[in-house]
Amino acid sequence: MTAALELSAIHLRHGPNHVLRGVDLRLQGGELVGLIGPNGAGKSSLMQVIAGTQRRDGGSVRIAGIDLDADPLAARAALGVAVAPERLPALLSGRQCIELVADLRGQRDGLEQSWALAERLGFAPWLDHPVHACSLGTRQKLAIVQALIGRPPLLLLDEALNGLDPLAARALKDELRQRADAGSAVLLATHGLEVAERFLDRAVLLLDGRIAADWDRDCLRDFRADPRGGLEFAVAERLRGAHSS
Amino acid sequence: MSARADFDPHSAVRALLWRNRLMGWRARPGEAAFLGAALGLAALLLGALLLSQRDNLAAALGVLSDQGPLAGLLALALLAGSAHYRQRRRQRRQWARDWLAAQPVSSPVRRRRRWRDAALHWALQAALTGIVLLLAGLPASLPPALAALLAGALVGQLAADVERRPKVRRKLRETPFVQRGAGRPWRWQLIELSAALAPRRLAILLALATVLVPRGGLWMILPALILLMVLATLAGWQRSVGVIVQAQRWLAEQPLPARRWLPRLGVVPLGLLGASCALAALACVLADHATLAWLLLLPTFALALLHLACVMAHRAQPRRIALAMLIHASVLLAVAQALPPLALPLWLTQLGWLGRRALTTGIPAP
Repeated sequence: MTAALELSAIHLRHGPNHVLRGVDLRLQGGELVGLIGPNGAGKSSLMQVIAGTQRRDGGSVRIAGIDLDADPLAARAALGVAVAPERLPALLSGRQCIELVADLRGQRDGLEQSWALAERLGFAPWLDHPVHACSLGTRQKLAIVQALIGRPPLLLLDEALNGLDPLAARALKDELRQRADAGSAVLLATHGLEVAERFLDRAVLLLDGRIAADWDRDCLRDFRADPRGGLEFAVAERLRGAHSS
Repeated sequence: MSARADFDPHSAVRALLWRNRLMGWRARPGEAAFLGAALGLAALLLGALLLSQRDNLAAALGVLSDQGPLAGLLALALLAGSAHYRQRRRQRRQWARDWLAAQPVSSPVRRRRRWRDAALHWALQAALTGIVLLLAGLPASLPPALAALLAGALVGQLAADVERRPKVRRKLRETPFVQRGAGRPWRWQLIELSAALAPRRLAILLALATVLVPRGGLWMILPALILLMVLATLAGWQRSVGVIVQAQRWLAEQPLPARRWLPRLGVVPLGLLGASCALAALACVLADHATLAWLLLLPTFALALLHLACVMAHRAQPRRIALAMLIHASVLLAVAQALPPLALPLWLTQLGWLGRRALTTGIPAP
């Protein structure tokens, strides 16, 4: 079965600093995977490498079986990315942004789904306001709606739950679960360990540019029953171990 | 999933931005009319200035085309190349980082957009050069000038494509002005100033001076050095004044009235302005052109102070700074042309009004 995402030996350096040191990761369709780790572990850099917006120093990225270097257009068409809210164009309205991306991706017919998602996230009243008039959370909703246009086999969401109100966060989780059930893979970078423990199928801990742990659904279920603190405790142990060594 | 291979999102964004601007102007006709009038006035003033200086311009360009035609063309090509190099680098950075960076935009679409933008850039440069040369009565110089612009543009565009790995930013403590633990606001401006005057940024200006110097005489060297100084001062001015807007974003929520920190951020720009004006005045006096010093430096000093006051007054809404400066400068220049004795009181009133606004923005003084 073709993996939705296949990373092999990803290396990234910023000058003398090794940001990613040989990351291998494979996501199957239908998986909801959390990318967790401390600040500076390389989560956002890894997301940018997958999205093709960050040059890497080694390794390969395959999205839905398509090599990102060999066919970047097809690979990117198979990918939905929620951009950082501050990168959205300040002077366009939310509706214009969504229509433009739908046009670009050849998904004009699927716009009804986007409007419906905007409604569920509570973004609909802001659709015709310019982006600069929206709050951080509202811009986050726009970035999410834009990422979910069409049915991309892989979704990349970096801290997408940040700044969302509880209703919108619930609606987003439901939407992501539906997408996963329909066969899409979701990679969600997050600091919310409780979210990772309760909502995701798998959690991957990135530490010093390497994958330090990969907990599957059974492990996460065990964490939920662990009186010591579950995933939080496990992550803290790994961090202490890394610092002491 | 199938992306539309022929869809150019950057063109679509531009079209939407213009549509939104037009709708905004329609929604606020008074403001739009005022902005249009201010722009029209500025264009009229610029046109009048160019026409009034037509003879001087013709004389200067005539000497250049007679005595150093190749040097002039080289300088033009260098300027065009530098502008195209920066435009292409800016475009690449934008495409790599903007909100559409991860979207499936095909290479042919990007290539088309790239060369369309380059052609537009070249057309604007060509139009400006054409107007200046025709005003100076040198139509024969136009074809070689356009060829120089084209050559410079091509070299600049291709040079920007040479892959360079992003360098790690120098740590702040490595800059010459930083001392550890010194948190005074003007040090921030000095760091920005040192960045603006970095050798890499001055290289193109030095190259321009080098092109002009071998043709001999002091009359060629001096303009090159003055150009170098003016451009370096302008870059330093922009960077140090820009800190005021950044400081506002940073300090707006702090329990500090503006008068506690804002005046301190005027010290470095004023020092830079004073030093540059003093140096230029000294050079003019030594060259026996004291009148020229007054004619050049007085308006420069007045406009620079007005700009500083506009930045301070509108620092909370930086988008208004350019418009405010345009309006204040247009009014001042118009009055200076029509009723010269009123120019000084008007300038002082403008400074006072802007200064008051600057100090009352944010938390008022106790």
